[in-house]
Amino acid sequence: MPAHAAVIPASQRNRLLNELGRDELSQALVAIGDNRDEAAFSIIYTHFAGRVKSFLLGKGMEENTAEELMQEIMLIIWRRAESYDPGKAAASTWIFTIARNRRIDHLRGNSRIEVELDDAMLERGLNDNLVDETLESETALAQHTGKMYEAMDNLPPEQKQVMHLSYFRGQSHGDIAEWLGLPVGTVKSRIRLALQSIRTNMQIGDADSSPFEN
Amino acid sequence: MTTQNTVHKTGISHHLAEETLTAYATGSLSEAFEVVVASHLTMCPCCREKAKLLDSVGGYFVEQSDSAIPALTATEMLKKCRLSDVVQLDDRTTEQNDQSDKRPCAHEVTRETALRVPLPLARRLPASVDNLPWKPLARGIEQFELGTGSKKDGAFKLLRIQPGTQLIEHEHGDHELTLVLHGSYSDSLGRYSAGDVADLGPEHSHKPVIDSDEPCIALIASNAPARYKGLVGKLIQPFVGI
Repeated sequence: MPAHAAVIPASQRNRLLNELGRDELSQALVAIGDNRDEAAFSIIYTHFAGRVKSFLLGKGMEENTAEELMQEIMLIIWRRAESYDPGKAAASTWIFTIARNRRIDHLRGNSRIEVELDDAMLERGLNDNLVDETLESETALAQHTGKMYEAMDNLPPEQKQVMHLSYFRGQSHGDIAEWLGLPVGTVKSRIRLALQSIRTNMQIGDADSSPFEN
Repeated sequence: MTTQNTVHKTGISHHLAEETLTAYATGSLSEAFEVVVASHLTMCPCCREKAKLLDSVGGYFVEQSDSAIPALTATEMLKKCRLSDVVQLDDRTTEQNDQSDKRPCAHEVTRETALRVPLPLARRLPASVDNLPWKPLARGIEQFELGTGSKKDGAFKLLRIQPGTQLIEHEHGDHELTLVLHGSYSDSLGRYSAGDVADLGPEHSHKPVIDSDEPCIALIASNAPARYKGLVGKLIQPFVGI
């Protein structure tokens, strides 16, 4: 890849570098899973420890609890990296879901309720590869993630703001509305518009608009 | 997209609102709401795709966030990791917190004819849906309480409603999810059959009528009690959820 860098325009090169960075983090998780690679863990810890703690603090946890929980999350990463599938999720996504779930666990004393992929009731359909399955290749996932990053970067600021606050701050749409001094309905509609424009920019087919639905 | 031509018809026409999916992704929903959302997601690949995308949006924000200062260096944390490997057998709780408290499923080995429900719900039921200790509520309506039953906690229950039953017109509390598991009902917003979810805010008022030949079974979670219109409504309000 670096050999091609010279002929790639600066904007695209930047995107490519980001993807390489993400790839490096994925490979680090794989290495931890394969053979408890300590150097790889250092890369993950150095990159994510502060970010995960920042997520917990943003969600209103006090310093000591956030530190303690962040360390638990890092321990979970160390122990469970074997289950990380680089064709299924970016490293940051996998770590976000662990942090989110561990926080829920801590707050209410039981696990987040999730879809179980071996459920006999599981209905499969459009965009299966985007839903439950590993994308055709790690490259396909990297492209998908890259498109999502681009779509996020290009989100109108007011939409990006409510999304950011949803993930990194308040508990409810009401909290966010109060902070921004906006009606709750406005917060909700910005979230809807944000998700719609992310999906449009990523060119994900929308089953909602298919003649078979609705 | 060309894949649109090969859409697998799920029959689901009422989906979760984007803001509800976002609240699920950010970890802001109560357990009762999570059960309804995860049950709908099991039945709806369309919402599941959005939910997965919203998880990766969480990854994006983690990636973009300013880093707080961790108390330990990577080397110190590694020491803890190595230590935990040594005592791992004594301490399986942290390691398996996603799996450890998965409840056994009472009707996992039920006969084929039993009414099936998604596992996120099935794990909370003491028996298969047809064998639950349903309690009569009003004419044609039975319920099985899943929550605390306390009004301030909002509703979390299954309802079984006989064909032809019409519910009293009511408005909603702050936020209410109704997932149809079997049968169907209709109201001014449309027809809701198996897999459909009504994701309603306080602005909605409706008057559902059960229009299937078999009883309609629905899972309901709300974070504030529904308000019924009229005196009779006020009298039965404490008892009915949808």
